[in-house]
Amino acid sequence: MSDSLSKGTWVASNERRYKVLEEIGSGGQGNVYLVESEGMKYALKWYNKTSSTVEQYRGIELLVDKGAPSEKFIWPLVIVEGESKDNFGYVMPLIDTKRYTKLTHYFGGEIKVKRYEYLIDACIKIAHGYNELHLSGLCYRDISFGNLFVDFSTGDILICDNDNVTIDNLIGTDQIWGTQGFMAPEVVRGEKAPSTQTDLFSLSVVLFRMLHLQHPLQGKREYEIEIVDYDALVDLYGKNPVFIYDPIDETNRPVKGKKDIADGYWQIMPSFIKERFTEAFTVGLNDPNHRVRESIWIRDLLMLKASLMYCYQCGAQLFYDRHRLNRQDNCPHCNTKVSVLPPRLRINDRIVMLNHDTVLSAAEVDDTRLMDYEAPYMKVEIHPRHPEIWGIKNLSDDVWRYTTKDGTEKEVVKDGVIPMREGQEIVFGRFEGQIRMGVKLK
Amino acid sequence: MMDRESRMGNRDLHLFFLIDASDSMSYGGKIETLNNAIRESIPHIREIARDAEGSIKVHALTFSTGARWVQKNVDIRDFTWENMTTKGVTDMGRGFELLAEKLENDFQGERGYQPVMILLSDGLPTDDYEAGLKKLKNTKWGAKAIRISIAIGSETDLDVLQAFIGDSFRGELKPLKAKNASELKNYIRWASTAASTASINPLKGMLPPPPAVTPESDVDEIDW
Repeated sequence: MSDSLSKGTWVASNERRYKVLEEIGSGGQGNVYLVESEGMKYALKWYNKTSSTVEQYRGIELLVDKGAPSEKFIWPLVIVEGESKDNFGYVMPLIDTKRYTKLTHYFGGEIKVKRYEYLIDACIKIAHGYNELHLSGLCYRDISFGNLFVDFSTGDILICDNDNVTIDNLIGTDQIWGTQGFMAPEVVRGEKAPSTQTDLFSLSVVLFRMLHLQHPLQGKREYEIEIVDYDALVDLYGKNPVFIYDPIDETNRPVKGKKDIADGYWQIMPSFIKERFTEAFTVGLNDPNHRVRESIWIRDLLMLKASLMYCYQCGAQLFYDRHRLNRQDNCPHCNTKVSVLPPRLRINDRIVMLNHDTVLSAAEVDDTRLMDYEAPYMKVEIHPRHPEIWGIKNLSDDVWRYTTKDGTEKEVVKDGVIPMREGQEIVFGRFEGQIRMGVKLK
Repeated sequence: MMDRESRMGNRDLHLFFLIDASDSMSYGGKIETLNNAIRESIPHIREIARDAEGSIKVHALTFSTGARWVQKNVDIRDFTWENMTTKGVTDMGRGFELLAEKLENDFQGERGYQPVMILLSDGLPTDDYEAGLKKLKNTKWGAKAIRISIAIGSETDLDVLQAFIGDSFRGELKPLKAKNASELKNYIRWASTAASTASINPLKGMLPPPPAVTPESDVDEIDW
């Protein structure tokens, strides 16, 4: 037995034996194998001798004892050993790679996503996943595209390589953790050990890149480096990081025609999300205590999803921006003026688009139910015989109340529909909203 | 949503093989093992390219009596390896020179990760390798390269291979000594994959050490 396991080898936990079927991956710490036990298939990470340390063993033991924070995590299930005294590994659930795409492959251009909903949903779930991890007192240390998987047809996500996870109280900086481009500046400079705070920086990079493709710190300064080496990266990400859209420092803007993929996305993003990213990569860049927290990201991302509307000329997806209403932009796809707004629902200071295909969760309409973003709460329903009549359908157990045009008070329970009407006020259980009909701007 | 097309501004990793194709390589199955080892490395390098932004471009030159390019700037996705043939002496210095000329001419204004250069040899240079090596290290790309060397068999001049490595990767590297076929396969795979990974992600620090060879796989293989 050695660092690699041959087909047909057995490894065992205290309770079960696992048969090695084939190698499915390899990395610096060891290899990953497909294994089978009692008719069930699993993945096995087998550490090479150098990585089979006592610390690593205790670390995995701790994770096995604590259990997965949620089903988003491909978590160590049990430690296994083989014939060799020098190696060990752990068994974890197998990732369905037909369904889930590793984000490195997505950013390599293997698949393209045509609609924003699932992309934003994936962002929400990624933020939520790290939130669950952090709430259990753990930090991830090496958040990157190499350990995130997304099902782009549903927005579901998986967080893997969880042997990176540890208790959030590290002090020493003797071991380097992280992947270039995702590490917080203070980690790159070697000043701080990874922690929840540094995870939050990595998360903001993941979210920015999911929505803009380009790296938030890779503009002119990166483009002008001929051969990128250690020193160049420490400078770019550690000593002198500058956000490509820094409101004051313009030295690191995207490079026109060469490295400017973000420009097309940034220009259509609503102001509130741009402000949040600017906060993350200016104040949050240098001050670990002022990083954008997961719940703030989740709230903003929900609002971003609820801002989605269409260009009525070409059908492309655009974002509603209250602050740009009177400054009509051209659709970046067909270049005609965006002049038609869909019906909208206003709840306190939130404005939610009511497109023909809108489905909203409770999280998008009710501030107090931020994590309740999966179950549908309401949807837009078009009258089957009168397509000019739109309504909102109650998909929840809340009882809605509204007053019709002629003054009659009505209650709407699950599956009931309220017809849309300019100025219609609706009481949705604990909160109220008002409808504005679609409008053509001059 | 936008088309991403060419606006990502990604950089490529250039991977260079410098291969000894002198007559002595034809003894003891060395060249056949080398041909197979490079072929076996291809899918593993492809996996790294799949995880990287930008691609991995492969170049290979052989030196014997003189030196010549056998592969130039081939995307690892399209890369296949033709069997090499051997004859003549070991003009290693000419090989370095040929590479230096390419870096001077074709790499002006290019952007990339630190190039990875892997030297494979089984013997002693028969020409002035020092002059060629100096030229190579005087180029911008040659100086910044992660240089690794693999000695095939026990007849190799390790000082030459160490000189090639020089201070590359903070002077932490030593020539790898492949005493048999399975070691050579392991080292070629390690050199091409671990060094590529280290080039793409330099902040991770150390190159992981080459893998331990499984003793049982040595049986039935030719020893040199």
